[in-house]
Parts: sequence; structure tokens; C-alpha cells
Amino acid sequence: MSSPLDSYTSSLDELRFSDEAKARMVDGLRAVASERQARSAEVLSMPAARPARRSRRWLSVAAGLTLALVLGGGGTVAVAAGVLPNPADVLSDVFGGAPAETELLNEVGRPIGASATSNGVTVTAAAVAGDRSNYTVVYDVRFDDPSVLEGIEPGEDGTLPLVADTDRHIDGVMAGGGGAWFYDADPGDDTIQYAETMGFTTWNGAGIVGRTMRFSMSGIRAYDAEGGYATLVTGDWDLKFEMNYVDTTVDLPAGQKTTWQGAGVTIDAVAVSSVGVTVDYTIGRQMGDLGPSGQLSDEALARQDAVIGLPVTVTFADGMTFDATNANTYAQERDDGTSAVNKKATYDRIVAAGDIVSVTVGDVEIPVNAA
Amino acid sequence: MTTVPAVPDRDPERLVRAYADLVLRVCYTYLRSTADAEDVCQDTLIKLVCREEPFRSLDHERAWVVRVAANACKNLLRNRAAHAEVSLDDVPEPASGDAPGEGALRRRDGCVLDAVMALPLPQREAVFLHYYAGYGARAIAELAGVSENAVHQRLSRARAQLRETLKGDYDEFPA
Repeated sequence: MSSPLDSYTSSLDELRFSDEAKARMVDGLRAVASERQARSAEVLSMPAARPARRSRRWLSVAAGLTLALVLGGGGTVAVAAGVLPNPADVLSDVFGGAPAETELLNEVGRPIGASATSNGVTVTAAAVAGDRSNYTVVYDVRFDDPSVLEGIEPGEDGTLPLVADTDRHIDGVMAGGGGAWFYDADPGDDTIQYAETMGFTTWNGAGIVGRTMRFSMSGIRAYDAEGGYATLVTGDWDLKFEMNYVDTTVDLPAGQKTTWQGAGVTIDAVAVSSVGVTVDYTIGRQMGDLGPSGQLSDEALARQDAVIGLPVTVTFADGMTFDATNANTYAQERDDGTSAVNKKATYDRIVAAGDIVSVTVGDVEIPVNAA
Repeated sequence: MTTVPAVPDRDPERLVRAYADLVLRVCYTYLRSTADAEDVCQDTLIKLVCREEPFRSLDHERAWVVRVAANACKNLLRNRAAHAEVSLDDVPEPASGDAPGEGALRRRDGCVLDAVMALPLPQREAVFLHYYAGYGARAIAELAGVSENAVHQRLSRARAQLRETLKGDYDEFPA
């Protein structure tokens, strides 16, 4: 005589995904695996060590909001319902320094609200701002027992001496990278903030806006006095949300010719937005095999710089500049001996698109008002 | 001569073949629905593909998949409770309409499955992990984050409830 629990197990065995659903999952996993392989060939990626904070340069953004909306198309996006924060409340502290204009942040940013709890720590994706290729997401990290944060004080740059073990995947992306840091927007509460600025290349060039983000965090470690790490907390925090925000990307005229270290360069595409800059160019040389990542010789570094070192600078209305030369860079070698290079960077601020004057690629200055 | 155990590869076809249906059953156990199962499965297997550390064995890999999928389901339940703006304890677990396959499942051995699915989540989880996934009390304790005693208690209560619910249909029920 069979046990009813045999019936239970045989009943569950009947529950299966369709072949179509399994095929979709295989395709999705293959895309992720390909992306990871591409990352291994990527020139620059998210720093393993604590990222150096960029200098705090803030623009006046009193004017230009209307221009930002016009340049970006002023499209509306779906926003999650429920009790969600104003984007400005989340994004105003993300880069440190003086806060940007609240109205602008609320226009370009979007609340998220996805949340996961594990081992007494709740990670919530609070808000996102971005453009076609770049984004900044702020995550709230709330501790049921905030005493674990005792003794963790911000450094001179305002960041906390913490590093997170994280991974993220956006549907359709091929390669990407960026930086991340912790800060404490309100030292009086039991929550700290984790911010990521990333840039991604997509397979079809359609960009990341509206795509699904899957973010996971498995631990937070604290730096000790010797420069090592001590585990602060581990867990499984898996978040999924849509990259819905106002895309203020403006495509600038391209096709200009220049040179870099003696090689011909064609500027294929330049785009700016309220949050970042993206530049594509083709250069008539290849860097070849540079050897093991992280152990580049001076000669390898020179070969790398000869392909991806083309300077990129964004100039703002108040005369301040943002150096995007060392942006997230992806270089693909072509059969004709050239390299297709893509650079993406988020600024250390959020600006009205109308306050962006020009982008200079090598010695070619491209005015934004020419778009 | 020593034998070095083979480290499982991360071939997408193998992972989906080995774990997709298992994750589906995990989702059904925790969520009482398969509506979010494909997302949970994809998220879980993406994490597996992206995981840097190798697994010691296929058993190690399988336990990891079950744990990650179970945690994903628990987070889904918490998120639903949070968005409802009431406490988790007050929120009924989802009982959505049958997804493809669920109807046939219910018709086949409906009374037993329904009895198990009617158990509170901690007991349902213990029954699934023990009787379906084949884990012992220690492994279930690690997966569920509770003591081994608590696991034994949950299984005992689950069996008692099932015995009561299925009285007359099944006389040979494990004690």
C-alpha cells in the first residue's frame, strides 16, 4: 500500500515547465554566460577595491529644466504605485557635496521600491536615474540591529569603508562596468545607502531603459585598519525591477575624423544626458593580448592606452568639466585591424541637459546645441 | 590513487534540465502558485551561472539551488505583504488561479496535495524538503534557518494534521 506522501511526491513530479519556457530560460542563461565572457575581455570594469570617489564638483542647475525635458523628449514612464520616496530625497545625497535641484532630480529620477530581507538586513532599491547606457541606482540597506555599524565612520570623501559582494544583470546587455560605494545619508537612522553607477552596452544598441534589472547582494564587508576585509553581514538579497526612468539622452553629430597617438580615429557616435556621456569611436589599431588582467606590464598599459586612451571631456555651462577619459570602456577588435571602442560614464552629479555645453573627443569639440 | 570529484559545469542546458522543474515545485510549495516560477527560476539560475565559487558536488549545487529559490519565494511573500501595508502574518498566502499544469495536478491526487498545500508555510516547507527533496532534519534546519528540533516538530505537526485531514482515505500514514 502506498503512503499518501508517495502520492504527494508523484503529484509534484507532474508539475513541469513547458519546453518553450525551458528554451527561454536556456536562451536567457546563454546571454548571461556570453556577457560574462565578454566582461573577461573588457578593458575596464567595476573596480574590485574601494572605488576612488570623484571630486565633488557641482553645477548650478537653476536653469535648463525645460531644455532637459525638450532634449530628452519629455516622455512619461510607468512608476510603481505605493508609498515610495521622492527621487530627489534619495538622489540628492548620492554624489555628496551640495544637493542638486529637487525639481530636476524628481524629473529625471524614478522611485523603485523593490526589497529583499535576509538575516536581519533589508535591501531596498530606492531610486534610479539614468540614460540610454548609464544609470545610478541607490539602495537603502536597513539593519534590524544597527549596532553592527558601530565604529564604521565615513572617510574624508564621505563614503563608508564598506564593500558589497554584488552582481547585477540587465536583460539584453553585452558588457558593462562602473563603480559603487556606501554612504550614510542620515547617521541618525538604522539605514545606510549603497550606490552604483554603471554603464552597459546592449547587443542591439537599443539601450537599457525599460529593461529588467536583476540585482543580487550576498554580503557586506568592512575594511579593517590593515586594509583587509571583515565580513559584516551575509545573506541573499535578490531584487528585480524595471529600469524605468526619463531618458534624457541627446545624440550629437558624429562622423568626425581625428588621430590618437598616430592612429586614425573616426568618431562613430556621441550622446550626452542629464546623468552621463557615451562615446563610440573606431581606431586604426588593436591592443592585442595584454596578458593577465590586473598584472599589466608598462608595455601592455601603453598598448592599451594607444587604443582606449582617447581623451573625452564634457564641458558644462558654468565652465566646469568632467573627464570621461577613464570611463567604462569596451574595446572590440575587428577583422580589418581596427578596434571599435565604446566609452560610457556617469557624471558625479545630475545636471539639466541644457547645462551641457559640449563634448570634446580627442581634439574635436562637439557642441551640444548642434544636436 | 585518489579520485577527484568532478566540479559541476555551468552549461545552461544542463542547469535548466536539472533544476527548472525543481525550482517550479519549490515555487509552488512556497507561493501556492506557479505564476512567478519562471522569473524565480531564471533569477536563481542566473545567480548560479554568475557564482564565482565552485560547488563541491552536484548535491552541494542542488542544495544551493533549493536554498536560493526558497529565499526568493520568501522575499516575494514579504514584498507582497509590504506592498499591502499590513503585517506579513495578516496577509493570506497567494492562491492564484491555476497556471498551466496545476489543474491536472489537482485532479490527479487532489486530496493529498491539497492537504499538504493547506498546511502553514513552515510545515509545508518541511514536508517538501523532507519528503520531496529528500533532505534530513539537519539540512532542512540549515535551509530554513531554524533548529533541528524545530524541524522535527514541524514535520510531526504536519503529519498529525495530514493524518487528520486524510482520515479514511489513507490508513497507512507515517507516524
